[in-house]
Amino acid sequence: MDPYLLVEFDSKAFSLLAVQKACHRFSNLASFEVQVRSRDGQDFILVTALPLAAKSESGLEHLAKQLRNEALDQQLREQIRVQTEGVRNLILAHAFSKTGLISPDGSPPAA
Amino acid sequence: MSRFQPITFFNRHPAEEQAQYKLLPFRFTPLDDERYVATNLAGEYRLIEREPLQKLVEGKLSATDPRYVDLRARHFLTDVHSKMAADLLAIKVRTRHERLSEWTGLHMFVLTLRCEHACPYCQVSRQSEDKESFDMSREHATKALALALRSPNPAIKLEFQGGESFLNFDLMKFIVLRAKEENAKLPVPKDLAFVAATNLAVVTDEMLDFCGKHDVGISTSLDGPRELHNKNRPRPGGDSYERTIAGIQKVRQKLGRTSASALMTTTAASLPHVKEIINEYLEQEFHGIFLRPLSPYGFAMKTKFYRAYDAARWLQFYDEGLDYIIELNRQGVEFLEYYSATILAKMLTSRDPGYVDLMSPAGIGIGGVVYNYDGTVYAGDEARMLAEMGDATFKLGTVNDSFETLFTNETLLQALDESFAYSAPMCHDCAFEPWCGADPVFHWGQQKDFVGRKPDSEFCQRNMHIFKGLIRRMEEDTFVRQLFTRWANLC
Repeated sequence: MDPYLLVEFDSKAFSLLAVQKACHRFSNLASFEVQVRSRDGQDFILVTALPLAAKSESGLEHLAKQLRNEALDQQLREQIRVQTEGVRNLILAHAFSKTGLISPDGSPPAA
Repeated sequence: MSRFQPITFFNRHPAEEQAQYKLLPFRFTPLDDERYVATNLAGEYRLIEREPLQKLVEGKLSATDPRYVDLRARHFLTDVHSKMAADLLAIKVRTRHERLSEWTGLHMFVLTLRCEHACPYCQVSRQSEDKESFDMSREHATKALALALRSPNPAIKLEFQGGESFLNFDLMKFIVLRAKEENAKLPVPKDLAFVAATNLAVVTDEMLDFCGKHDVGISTSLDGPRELHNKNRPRPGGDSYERTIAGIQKVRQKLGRTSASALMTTTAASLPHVKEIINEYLEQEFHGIFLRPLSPYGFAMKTKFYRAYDAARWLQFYDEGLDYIIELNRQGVEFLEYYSATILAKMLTSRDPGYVDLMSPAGIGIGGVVYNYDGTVYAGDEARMLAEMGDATFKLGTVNDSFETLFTNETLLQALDESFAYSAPMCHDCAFEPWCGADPVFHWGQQKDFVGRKPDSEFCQRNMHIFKGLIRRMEEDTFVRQLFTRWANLC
């Protein structure tokens, strides 16, 4: 079997979505399988990466580092999203009010 | 007494060092190993390192941190001293998207597919000069014009395209005169503008006199110095360059100095010559250049010209050209690169110049529409180029259809909806999304997917590189920042 990469993420520190997004970011380099597993009663996220083109050991290590950093970024983005969701919707609604582009009930604007 | 608060008011920090602030929505993308580009909802950006970024998100950024006031002023956070932040941000977001409510302003008429040039990279699959069956009819033109004037946009630009648009000059005249006549009958006449895309090879004095009289601007092709231009753009006699240059001079004499603009296309032969190409534009007294890669349509695909270089090689060409232009400006020669200037306008102002490729929701249909020579209506220039290759996915209908039928076409709405970058995978999290576009036609053409898988997307690769490069240059050099700020406000 071609060399592949296994990377584990702690489910308490990373959401499944953040890990999935991190994998998608590198989907031009490898195909990814993302699984939620359990060990000693603790959940973790296991990522298996199969490089699309053969990679050396150092190449695989580099991909693992990139994936971990990207997952950190994605997790931080998720924090921002959760904290700002209400105000984001408020700003967008305010920005597009009175433009005729949206109506209060969400129906299309009159012709 | 001053009407304004003193500067100390705006520099106020919260009393406690551990500030009580709330985050406003923002996104971030790595610029290099240390720094991130963070953009707020309105596309204003700041650079920030990883550690303060983490602190900012976790609510631990100290009020005495030198970044604090700046981040508050740029609407990344709000506290008791910035009660208007959400309202101001909303106004900026609205300004940035104001074009949406105006609908389609650019209406392109393909007057003919005939052309006497035989450019191997032609993206519209031109036909030989004598086949008049590839001309638009007056009936189709009349109906297309009625559709154009039906657009709610108060400013309508009619662009004449080909083939070579002047090979069907009678129809061009007919449309210009009729457009003026019909426009005058509207309860609120529109601000009409005309432009003809032409290689200038067949243009006569009579044609230019008409253009001068009716304010028809001229957009031509100039690929670089004589040898390169003639190699890229063969025609009988091998004199495309000579005719183009003579044409530009004539246009300027008859229509005024600013009436002629030019576009270049990058072929593999162009790649080692970016400085010579720029020098040619300077020589011909243009004020700037649009460094443009080949698009994957028409003969460019058939002749494999498109695949003659990859995105990385084109970016090298662009970088070399941009750095040369910056150096020219440093030496006092005012000259700009239009693609960069368009992006800079989005980066540094609240305006969106409305460049179709960099629009989200996508510019197809709502940024520009094409009436083809045979009466078919396409959702943009690239959409008709794709159709010439046998893929009519972005066909909206024909000029016989009503405005409502064409613009509520399910394919158009689906493509607009699916490709909206704000909700597209990867784009949604990308700090550059407010400056970028969706370009569903490109992604459909390349990947048969309106959204496109961004890790594989040349569009994404090209624009990410350009965004980062512009920011890096601005951050490293005060002169470049001032220059880019000027460009942003010119565009």
